[in-house]
Amino acid sequence: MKSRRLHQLFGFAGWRLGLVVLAALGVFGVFAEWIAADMPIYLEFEGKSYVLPALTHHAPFREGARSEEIAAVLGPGDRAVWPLFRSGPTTETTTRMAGASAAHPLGTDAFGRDVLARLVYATRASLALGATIALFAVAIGLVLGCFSGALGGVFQGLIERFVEIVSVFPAVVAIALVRALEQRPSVASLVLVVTAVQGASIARLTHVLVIRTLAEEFAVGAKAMGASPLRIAFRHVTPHLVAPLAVAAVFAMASAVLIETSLTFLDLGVPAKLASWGEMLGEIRWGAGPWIIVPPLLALAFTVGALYAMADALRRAFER
Amino acid sequence: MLRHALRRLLWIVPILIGVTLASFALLSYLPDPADDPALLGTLTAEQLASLRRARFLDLPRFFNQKPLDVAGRVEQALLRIGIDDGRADQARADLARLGGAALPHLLPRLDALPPAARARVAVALAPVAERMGIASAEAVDPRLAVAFWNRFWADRAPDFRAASARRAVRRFAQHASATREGDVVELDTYALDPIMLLLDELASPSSVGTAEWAQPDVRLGAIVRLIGAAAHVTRREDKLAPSASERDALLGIRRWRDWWLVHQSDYKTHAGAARFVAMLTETQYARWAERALLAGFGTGSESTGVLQRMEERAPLTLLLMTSALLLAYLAAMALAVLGAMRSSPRLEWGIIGASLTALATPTACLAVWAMQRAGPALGLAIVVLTLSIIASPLTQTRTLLTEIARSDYVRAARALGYGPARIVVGHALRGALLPVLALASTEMPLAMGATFVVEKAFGIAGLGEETVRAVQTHDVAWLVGLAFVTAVTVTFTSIAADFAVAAADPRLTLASLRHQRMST
Repeated sequence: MKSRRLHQLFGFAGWRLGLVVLAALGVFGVFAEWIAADMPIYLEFEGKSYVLPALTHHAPFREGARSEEIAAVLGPGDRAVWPLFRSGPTTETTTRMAGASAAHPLGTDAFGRDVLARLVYATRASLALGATIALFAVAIGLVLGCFSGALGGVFQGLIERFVEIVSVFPAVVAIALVRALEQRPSVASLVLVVTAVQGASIARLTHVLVIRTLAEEFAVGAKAMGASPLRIAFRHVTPHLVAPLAVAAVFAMASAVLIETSLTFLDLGVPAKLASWGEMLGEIRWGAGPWIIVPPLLALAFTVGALYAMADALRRAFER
Repeated sequence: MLRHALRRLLWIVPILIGVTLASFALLSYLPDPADDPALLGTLTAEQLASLRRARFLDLPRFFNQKPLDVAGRVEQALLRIGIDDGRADQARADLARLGGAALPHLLPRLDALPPAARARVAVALAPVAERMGIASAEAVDPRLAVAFWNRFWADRAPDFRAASARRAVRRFAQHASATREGDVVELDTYALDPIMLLLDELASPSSVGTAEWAQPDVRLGAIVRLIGAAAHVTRREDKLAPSASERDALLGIRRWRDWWLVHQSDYKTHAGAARFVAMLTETQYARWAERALLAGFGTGSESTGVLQRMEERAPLTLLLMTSALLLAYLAAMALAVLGAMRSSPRLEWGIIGASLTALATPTACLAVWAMQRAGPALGLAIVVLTLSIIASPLTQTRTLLTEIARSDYVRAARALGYGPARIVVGHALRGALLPVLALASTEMPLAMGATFVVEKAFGIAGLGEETVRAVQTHDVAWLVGLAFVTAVTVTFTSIAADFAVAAADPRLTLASLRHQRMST
C-alpha cells in the first residue's frame, strides 16, 4: 500500500517540481567545497596527495590560506584540481560591495566576501538547520501529542501545561536571554529554542489529530481487540498523521529559516562566521544592495515554495 | 460552566509556577562568577563573594536544611575566633559587620567563653563600638574590653528588643534630633529590620494618606534620615542628599530593598515557626522569585528598575503589535470572506500565493526596504508588521470559514434561499468572529519577534531596542523580567479571550474551547 501511495505521489506535478528544486539546492549544499573554496578539490603537493583538504583539514597549508597563496607555493611537480570558483565563504578581500565580475560572479558583500561562495555554504547551513529543527520538532511533537491524546488524564494535563508554558514565552525573548547568558553565540542554543517552540505547536496539532482518529472505527476495533492505548496511538493512528505532520514539518522548516533571519537582524542569530541565508539577508543592516539580498531571498522563496508544493501533494495523496 | 471556569483559573497557579521555574532555570544557566576565569583574575575574593551573594549562589536551590540567621552566623564566628586559626580574621570582620544585631546572641554568652577567646571576641567588637559612637580606649584593650561590653549589656539590654527598637526607629523618623539619632545609632544593625519595615511603609502609596506622613517634606525627611542611618550602620555609601526629590527617595528605597533582600539573613533571627519558613525562603529560587515579584526584577545594569523601564517602553510596542495584529486579522477575514463568497480557483490560488509570499518574505528585508523608501513613520511600520504576520491569520481564518461553510446552519440558510453575501456576513462571520479573537490572542508571542525587527528597522524606541541593548550588555534582569511579564500577560489574555468567547456563545463550554485552542 505504501509503495502505491508513493507511486501516486509522483503523479503530482507539485511533488516532482518540489523534489527537483530541493534536490538541486541540496546538491549545491552537499558539494559546496567543489563549487567554491580556497582549497583545491584534489592536491598533489611535495609527493603527497590530498583529497578535499578543505573538509579533512589535512592540508599542508595554514588554516584560512587564500587560493592565490596556495597557487603561489605550488611547485612544478605539484598538481591541483581547483573548484569552480576559488574563494571561500569567509575569505575577506579588499573589494567590498562590488558588483558581478569574473572572479566574483555575484559580487562581494560588506566584508569583501564572495556572495556566491556564501550562498552555496549558506544553502548547506540553512537547509541543515531547518531540517534539523523540523525533524526534532516533529519527533517531540509526535511523541508528546500521542502520549497526551492516547493516555489522557494526568498525562494530558501535564503535557498540555508544558505546551502552554512553552508557547507563552516569545521565542525571540527566550533566545535573547540565552544569548545574553552565553559566552559566545552557538548554533545549538538556537536549534534548542526554536525546536522547543515549534515542537510545542506540533504537539498541540498531534494531540487533536490523535483524539479525532481514536474515534474512528478502526481505532475502536483495535481497542476491542485489546490493544493498549499507546499501541493504538503509535501503531494504528500515526500512519494517519503522516500528511498533516508533513505539512507541519514543512512550515516548521520554512519558519525556522525565517526566524533565523529575524534573529540575525537583531544581532541574536548564528555566529557571523557561519554563512546562512538569514545571515546573508541580515547584511541589509549594513546597507547591502540588491545583489547581496536577492540571491538568498530567491533561494528562500524556492525552498519554501518547493516544500509547500510537496506538502500539498502529500496531503492530496493521503486524502484519497 | 462554572466548574470549567474555576478549573481554568486554578490552572493559572501551576502555570505561573512553571513560568517562574522556567525563568529560574534559564537564569541558573548563567555561569557562577567563581568559575569564570576572567573574573577570578580581576576581583578580590571579597568582591567575588559579594557578587555570588547578590545572585544568591551561597544558598541551596530549592530547600535549605539549615537556614543561617544571625544567631547561626555568630555561632560560626565565635567558633573560629575561639580556635584562632587562619580564618579568624575573616570571622572578626564578619562579627564587626553583623554588629548590633549580633549582640543579643553574643554578649549574654561572653562570660561562658574561655578567657582568651572572650578577650579576642570583645576586641573584635571594637569597630561596632566605634559605629555606635561609644568608642573608648577600653574597647580596644584586650584586658578591659570584656568588662566594657559586659557593662554595656547590663545597661542597654532592654533596648535590644524588637518593640523598643521599632519605637526608637519610628521616633527618629518622625522628628530629627541628636538624642533620637543617638538612640538608633546605638542599636547599630539591630535597627535595620525596623528601618526596612518603616521604609516599606513609607514607600507604599497608602502611607501618604495617613495623618502621620501626610506632609510630603516630613515623609521625605524621614526617608532620607532612615536611609542615612542604614548607610551608617552598614558602612555602605548609598545615601540620599537632604535635597533629594520624591523620585530619588523611592529609587533609593528600591535599591536598599534589593540589598536587604540579599543580606537580611545577616541581621534577622529565625525563631520558632519562622525557622521552618526560612527553610523554604532562604533558597535561590525563593529569593529570586521574591526579587522578581516584589522588587520588580531588580535594576539590572541600569539605574532604573526593570518594571519602570518596561512601563516606559511597552506602550509603543503594544500599540504597534496590537494594531498590526488587528489589521492582519481584519484583512485576513476580508480575504477569507471574499474567498468563501466566490469559490473561484483563481482567487483561491491568489490567496494562497499571497500568503506564501508573505510567509517567505523576511520581515527584516521588507522593513528595511520600506524604511529606505518612505522614511520612518509609525503607520508604515504598522503596515509592514501587518504584512509580515498576516500569513498565519490568513490560513487560520480560511480553515475556520471553510469549516463553518460546511456547517448545518449555513446549509440551512442556503436552503432557505439566502444569497452568498448574506450567508457569509450574516451567518458565517458571526460564528467566526469570536474564535478568531481567541486565535489572535495566542498569536501575540509569535508576533513579538517580528515587532522587534520592525522596531529596529524603523528606529522605534520600544521593548525591542532595550532587549537588543540588554543582550549586548548582558543585562539578564531585563530579559528575565521581559520574558516573565510577557508570559504572564499572554496567559491572562488567552484566558480572558476564552471567557469572552464562552460568554458570547452559550453553547460552547470551556472544555470544547480548550480543544479548539489545542488545535491551532
